[in-house]
Amino acid sequence: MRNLKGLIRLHGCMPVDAMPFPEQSEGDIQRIARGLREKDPAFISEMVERYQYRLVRYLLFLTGRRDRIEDLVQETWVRVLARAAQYEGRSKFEAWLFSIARNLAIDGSRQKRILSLDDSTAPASRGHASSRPHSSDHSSPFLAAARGEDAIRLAAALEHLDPTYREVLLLRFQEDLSLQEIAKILGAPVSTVSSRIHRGLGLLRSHWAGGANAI
Amino acid sequence: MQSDVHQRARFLIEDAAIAGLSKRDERWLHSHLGICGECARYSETTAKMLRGLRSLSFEVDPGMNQRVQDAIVARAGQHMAVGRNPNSRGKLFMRLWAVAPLRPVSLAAAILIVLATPTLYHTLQDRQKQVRSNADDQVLLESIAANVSRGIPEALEPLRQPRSREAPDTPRSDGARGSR
Repeated sequence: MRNLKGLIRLHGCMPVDAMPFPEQSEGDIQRIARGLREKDPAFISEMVERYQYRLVRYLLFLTGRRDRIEDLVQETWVRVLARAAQYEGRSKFEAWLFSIARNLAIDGSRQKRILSLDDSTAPASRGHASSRPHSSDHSSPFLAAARGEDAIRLAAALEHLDPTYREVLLLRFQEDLSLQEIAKILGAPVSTVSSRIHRGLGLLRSHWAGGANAI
Repeated sequence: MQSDVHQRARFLIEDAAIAGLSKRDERWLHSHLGICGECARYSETTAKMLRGLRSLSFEVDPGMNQRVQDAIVARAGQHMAVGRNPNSRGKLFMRLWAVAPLRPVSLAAAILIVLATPTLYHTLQDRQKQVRSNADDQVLLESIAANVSRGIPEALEPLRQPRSREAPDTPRSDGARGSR
């Protein structure tokens, strides 16, 4: 029972810097919606300051790499600004923000795939060395974020996980979004989200256990 | 059957963190974890894993923060500038409406525009019809004028000649005929 309670009341034993962010009240959501509609630069600046860390963390979980994060973050905020009128304050702002970031990341990875295909056919055939921009930063963002032995093992396990599982684990256990909110971001049914989290936890556990055996 | 019980317990351990449990499931899991050491360990591992997941703390380059903010604020400034331009996207009416003393004037102007629109529309249509009709008439007249031959048919040519008293076999010069 102690373990079960530990799971259910997990927030009680979290480190201070990883505590969930304060819940958005109805008034706060409406204030955000109004501020976005007015496109007030000071308000936008405040929003960037407030949500930047969470946006970067989400994109790191989604892409698994640090290069291009700045571009993606910037593109996300530009799109937020362009579509400000579409946010009606019916859902949490972060859910809307993440769905925009997600679409951009997916578009970017599609383009990169096309580019890498071009790279592999054109310059290689002529004997040129490949100069891909993303080859500069291969360090794991998860290992850099880990403090302590367990966290390092977990970071190594996350590294092996498919982005689709990493994403839902982050949204549920770091962002504390409900299954319905995650389903909205993913554009998938709640049942799919639930089974994806179960599967993600299972895979994380097996990589984690593998890491423990290796140690 | 025995493995089903453990599978159920493990599913519920994860579900407790994912979506929460009903009272009944919670009671069942509680009693199962009390007697099954393996599932209790599973529960402990899950809790440890989730704690580790939550403890990850990423560093964000403060320079990047500033760069992104600058770019966004600059973009927002552009949007604001476009919004301030009274000629942009017909926002004049909205701006007038925003000023309370001008609201009756704005309303009257709007009503006037709504009432005048059908009359203006019909007038414009009539004028267009008139112009089109004139153009058609013009085309018709031009085509008639083009088809009417103003030359004298050759068969009628002798009728135009005055009766000559000269002998019929006297040769006549074309130049003389042409000069008449």
